[in-house]
Amino acid sequence: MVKVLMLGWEFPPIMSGGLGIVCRDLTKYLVKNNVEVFFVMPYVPEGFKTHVKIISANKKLNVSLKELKELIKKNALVNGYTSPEEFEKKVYIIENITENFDKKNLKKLYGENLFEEVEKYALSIDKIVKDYDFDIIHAHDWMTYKAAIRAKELTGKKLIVHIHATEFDRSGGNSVNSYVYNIEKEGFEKADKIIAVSKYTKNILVEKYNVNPDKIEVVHNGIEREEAKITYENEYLKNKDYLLFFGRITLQKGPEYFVEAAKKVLEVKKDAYFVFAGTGDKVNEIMNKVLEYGMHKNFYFYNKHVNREEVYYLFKNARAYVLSSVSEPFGITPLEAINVKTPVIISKQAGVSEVLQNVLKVDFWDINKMANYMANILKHDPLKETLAEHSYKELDNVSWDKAALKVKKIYEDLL
Amino acid sequence: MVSVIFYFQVHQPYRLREDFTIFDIGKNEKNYFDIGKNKFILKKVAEKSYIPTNKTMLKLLKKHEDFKISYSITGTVLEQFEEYYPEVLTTFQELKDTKRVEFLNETSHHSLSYIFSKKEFFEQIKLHKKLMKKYFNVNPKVFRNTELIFHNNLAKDLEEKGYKGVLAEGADKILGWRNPNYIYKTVNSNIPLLLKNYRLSDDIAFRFSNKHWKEWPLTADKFSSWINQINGNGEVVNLFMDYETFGEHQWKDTGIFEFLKHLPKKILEHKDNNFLTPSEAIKKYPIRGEVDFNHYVSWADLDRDLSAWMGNKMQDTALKEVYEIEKIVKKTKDKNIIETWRKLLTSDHFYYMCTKYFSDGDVHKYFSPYDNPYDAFIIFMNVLEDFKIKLKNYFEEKKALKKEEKKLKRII
Repeated sequence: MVKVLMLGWEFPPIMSGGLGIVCRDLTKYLVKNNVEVFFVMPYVPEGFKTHVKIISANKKLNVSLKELKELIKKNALVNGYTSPEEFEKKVYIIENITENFDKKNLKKLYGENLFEEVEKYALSIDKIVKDYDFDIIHAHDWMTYKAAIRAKELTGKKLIVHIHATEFDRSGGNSVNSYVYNIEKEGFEKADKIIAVSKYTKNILVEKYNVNPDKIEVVHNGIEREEAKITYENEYLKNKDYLLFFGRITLQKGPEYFVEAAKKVLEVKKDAYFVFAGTGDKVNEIMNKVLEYGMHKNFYFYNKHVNREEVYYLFKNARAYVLSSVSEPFGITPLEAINVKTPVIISKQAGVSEVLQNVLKVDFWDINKMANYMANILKHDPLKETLAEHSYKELDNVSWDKAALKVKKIYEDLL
Repeated sequence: MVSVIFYFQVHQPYRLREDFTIFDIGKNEKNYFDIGKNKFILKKVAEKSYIPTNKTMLKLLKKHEDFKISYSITGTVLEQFEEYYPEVLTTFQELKDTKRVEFLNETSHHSLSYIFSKKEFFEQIKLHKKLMKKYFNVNPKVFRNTELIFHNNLAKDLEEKGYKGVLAEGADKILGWRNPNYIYKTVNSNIPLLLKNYRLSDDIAFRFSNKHWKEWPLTADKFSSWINQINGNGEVVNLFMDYETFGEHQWKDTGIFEFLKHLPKKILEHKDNNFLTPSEAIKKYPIRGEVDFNHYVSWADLDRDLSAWMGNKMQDTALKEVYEIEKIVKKTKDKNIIETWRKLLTSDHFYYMCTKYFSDGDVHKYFSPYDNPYDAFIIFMNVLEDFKIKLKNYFEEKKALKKEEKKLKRII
């Protein structure tokens, strides 16, 4: 049995974005396929148990706060991280708070800023590699790469780095944070194998990080097809046939393209309705645009954090879900929409488009085509229904079991 | 005695332009058909397939006086030949002049009209007969329906119209234990049927270049030995296929033309073999059995039914909506309007909307000019709605004109 030291950052119920879900589901199927996983997290609440052994990094750290601050200074950390607020938001989004879960405690332990956290996490690895017996190291995204490299240096074991989102995706190619970029690049260099979540991401690694393509394996994410239990209902949206934008309202997700397309749709379908669900630094800009275009009566802003049940509700009741991302390494949300039989329009700049055929694909900048798709889906029931039916069937091909077997094969080939 | 009957389908649709969006409806700014793409494809297929194959056929017909072949050529491809590549027409006319080539009758627009409107069906086959007269000066007596779509009722209808014979698919589900190598008739009529020997036909049309096929490479020697084996176990071998098999579906470098060049000689080497046209075969051989086409059968896909063109909601909606305006279209008596509508009836539009094997990237995808079945539906529906608006405007203009006329009369 292969034993893996897996370095992660999120794991439900401590999650932000999709990374936590991906780690939960991937490990679930690795375990099912006879892989033993030790999963390291920055912080784990007391008494938290799941299908893998979860290790709390902060408990393995034997330095005082003073020493830590010294260390961080010594490592000359950059203070100008693009969006510390974004980080705050990400980290403290907590769902299904368990009994033993102490929000205040979490805040304290997660540290004052992301970089401090990354350093702490890396330092904790010294004790972890001594405490656990494993064959291989598998690290998810740049936050864990420092720790991963350290673990490799300490043990000489093979390292796989898994890339779910690059700095280029997050920044949309503008103002790439060099601190993050350098950590990513070092991770790719020191890794024995790299797992990319799509061909799209693989290309970014080759082009922007100069990685040898032979070193990269593409393993597409899967979906856990759980039955969505929905008791929530939104009175306002109940009888509306809306097109949905869901996700962080940030540059990466291309909300402005959605708005421009909506404007075109309204030229031919005056009663079209649009829902924006999510928060982000572009909320005000988007709202102003909608007002400027006089479309506010056709828009609904669900401007808050959306919990799982609300997400399902929003997906299920939508006429279609539109993923307008400028750059999306994978993008698991279309799979969730399809799983509740809602058709999707997805950006070709999203890795998920590589695994789906029965969807409408569009370049994020091609507003005319996006609007044509949106308006036609609103207009023609047979189009909506055929898309929904066939994409739903197609989800069988996008399974975590398949993905986990691929990952397991990568482990075995390295050992 | 075994007679080989070669029949080739020649067809190209008028593909719709991909950029006809919902925003173009009612604007009157765009043509429906993708002239550039249609011209390009026609030219490509003409040069890769039609012209070199016609030349080969002409040589073979001159070389072997017993060699015979037959075609059905749709109205939509004839119009495109004339418009984009008249040389193809000339080479078909040369073939006709050998007098050993038979031309069959079908729907002018390669439509599914038999299923959706008998009235339109009979008009289209009449139209096609006119085209056959115009281009080849022939009067076809044998019929083949779009994609070999067939049913007992069609046999009956054709018999009543005086046809001498009809081509259909030799599907296992119809024949059961029997083979397709005899002339049959349906249970409800006496019109002779020539049933496609799909195994031997598909050996050429589909498997010829398949290196994983155990019979690869297929030589004229080998194929003619299979024909010889039918001797004593059949009277006709019906080899029906798309004409584009030669040079387009099977590229030149697969050796398909070499195969074709040698095949007649090899088949004729066996004294008991010959070639016949469909009309000759029907005259020569008696009806040997009865078959029951109590449901629709076609030559498309493995299913050999109608599921290539209908069955999903998009196809069914598009078909319903395009056929339900027939009366009003014809009421215009406007040649252009009726012709445009007929070009929308071409079965290919609905074939492109097929979702059956879409995820596996099957032949529908290979033949489709669009990225996916959903685009095919969207484009078709946008065009159809624009067409409906044009229809409405047509009648409104006429009404306005009449008013003016009345006014004028009063003044004068």
